[in-house]
Amino acid sequence: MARRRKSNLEEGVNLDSLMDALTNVVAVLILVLILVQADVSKKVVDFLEGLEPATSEQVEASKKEVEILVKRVAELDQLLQKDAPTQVEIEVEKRQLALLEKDVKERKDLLVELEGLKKAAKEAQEERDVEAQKTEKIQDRIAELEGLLDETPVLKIEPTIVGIPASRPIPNNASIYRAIVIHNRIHFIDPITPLELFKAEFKKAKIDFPNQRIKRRGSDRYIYQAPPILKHFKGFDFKNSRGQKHELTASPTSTRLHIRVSPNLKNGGTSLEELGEPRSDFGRILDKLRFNRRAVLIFNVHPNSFNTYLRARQLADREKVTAGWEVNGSSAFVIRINDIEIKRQQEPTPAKPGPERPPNLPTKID
Amino acid sequence: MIFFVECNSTGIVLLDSQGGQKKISTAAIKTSGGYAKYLDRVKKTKDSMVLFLIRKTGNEAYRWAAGMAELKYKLPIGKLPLPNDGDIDLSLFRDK
Repeated sequence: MARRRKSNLEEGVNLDSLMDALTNVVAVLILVLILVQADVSKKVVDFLEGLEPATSEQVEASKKEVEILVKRVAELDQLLQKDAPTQVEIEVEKRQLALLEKDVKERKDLLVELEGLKKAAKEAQEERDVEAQKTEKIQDRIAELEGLLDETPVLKIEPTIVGIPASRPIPNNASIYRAIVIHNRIHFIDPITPLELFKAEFKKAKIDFPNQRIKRRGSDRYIYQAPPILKHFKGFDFKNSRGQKHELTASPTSTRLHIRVSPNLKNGGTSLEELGEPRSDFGRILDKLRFNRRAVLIFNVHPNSFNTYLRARQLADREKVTAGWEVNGSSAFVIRINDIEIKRQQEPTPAKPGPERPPNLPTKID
Repeated sequence: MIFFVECNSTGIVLLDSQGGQKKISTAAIKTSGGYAKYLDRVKKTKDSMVLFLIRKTGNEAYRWAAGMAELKYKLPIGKLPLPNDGDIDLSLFRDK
C-alpha cells in the first residue's frame, strides 16, 4: 500500500478511463430515453386511435349514473350531518342484529327443507312430463281407434227367438232321451238301448252270478254280488255308433248298478257351427225322434253352452220333438239300473252337517 | 200373465211390469217376505206363471226360488237360459 500511494503521488491521478466509462453510460442512458420516449408516443397514439367514440345511449346512461351518484352523495352528506347514534340506540341495533343472526340459524333447517322441496318439485315435474308424453300417446291411439271404429261397419246381431216354455210333467210312459250340451257341442245320449242290451245279456248269464235269495210274497228278492257282474260286462259291446264310452259301475255304497256313458267331448257330437248345417248329426237324430210320439228329449245344459242349447232347442221345436232342459255341469250321463239289486259293499257315511241345499226339482218338459 | 224372475250368481231379481226391480240374495230367498208377497201376487193373478231367466251362474238361486214357487206355492213355472250378461229388456212384454 505504501508503495502504491507512493507511486500515485509520484506519477499523478489518471481519470481518463473513468471519463470514458461515464461518457458511455450517459450515451446509453440517452439512447434508452429516446427509445422509451418513442414507445410512449406510439402507445398514446395507439390508445387514442383505438378509443371508440361513445354513443348517445352510453352518454345518457352515464349521465343517469352520475345523477344517481350525486343523489347518493347528497344522502350520505345528510347522514353525516345528522347526530351520531347514542349508545342506547347502538345497543338496540346490536340486539336486533343478534336476534336476526339467531333467526337465520334457526331457519337453516327450513332452508334445507326448501332444497328438498325444490328437488321434489323438479322430480314431480319430470314425472308430469313423462305422464304427459304417455297421455299424448294414448290420446293419439284413442283417436286412431275412434277413426277405425268410425270406419268399421256396425255388426247386426240377430236376436235368438225362444218360445215361452209351458212347464209340464213328463208322462209316465215317455221314452226319455238325453242330450249333453257342453263346450258348445251337443252329445245325444240314448239311455234306452244300453239298458235293454244289458238286461238281455244279464238274463242270459245270470245263472253264473252268485246271489242271495230272500223269499217274500209275490216274487222273491235276489241280491247279487257286484264283482262277477262287473267282470262279465267288462268290454261289453253296448252298440254305440256315436263314439261314446259305456262302462258298467258299482258304487260301494249303492245297491244298484250304473252304466256311465261318456261322450267324446272334443270331437264327438255336433258343434254349434254344425247345428246350422242342413244335415247335421243332431238334425238326423231329431228326424228319427219326431216319429216317436213317446220320445222326450231332455237337454243337460252346462252353463258354458247356453247359446248352443238355444240353437239346438230351436231345431227340436221346429221338428216338434217334445223337450225339456236343466242346468247340469256333468260331462257324462249315468243310467241307473233299477231292476237288479246288488249287495252294498260299504254303509254310506252319514251326511256331514253343512249349509242347507236347495230342493231337487223334478225334470219337466219346458 | 207372466211374472219374470232373473236368477244370477248373487240371488234373484224380481222384475215387475213397470220395469222395477227388487233384489233378494240367494240365502234370503227362503225367508224373504218380499219374494213370498211376489208369489202371493202371482197366485192371485189369473192365468199367470213365473218365468225364471237363468244366468250362467244362477242355477243355485233358481233351484231355491223355483223350489219355493213350485213346491210350496204350486205355481206354474218355466225357465229360460240367458246366454249373455246384458240387461234384461221386458218392454215388449209390458206394451202388450
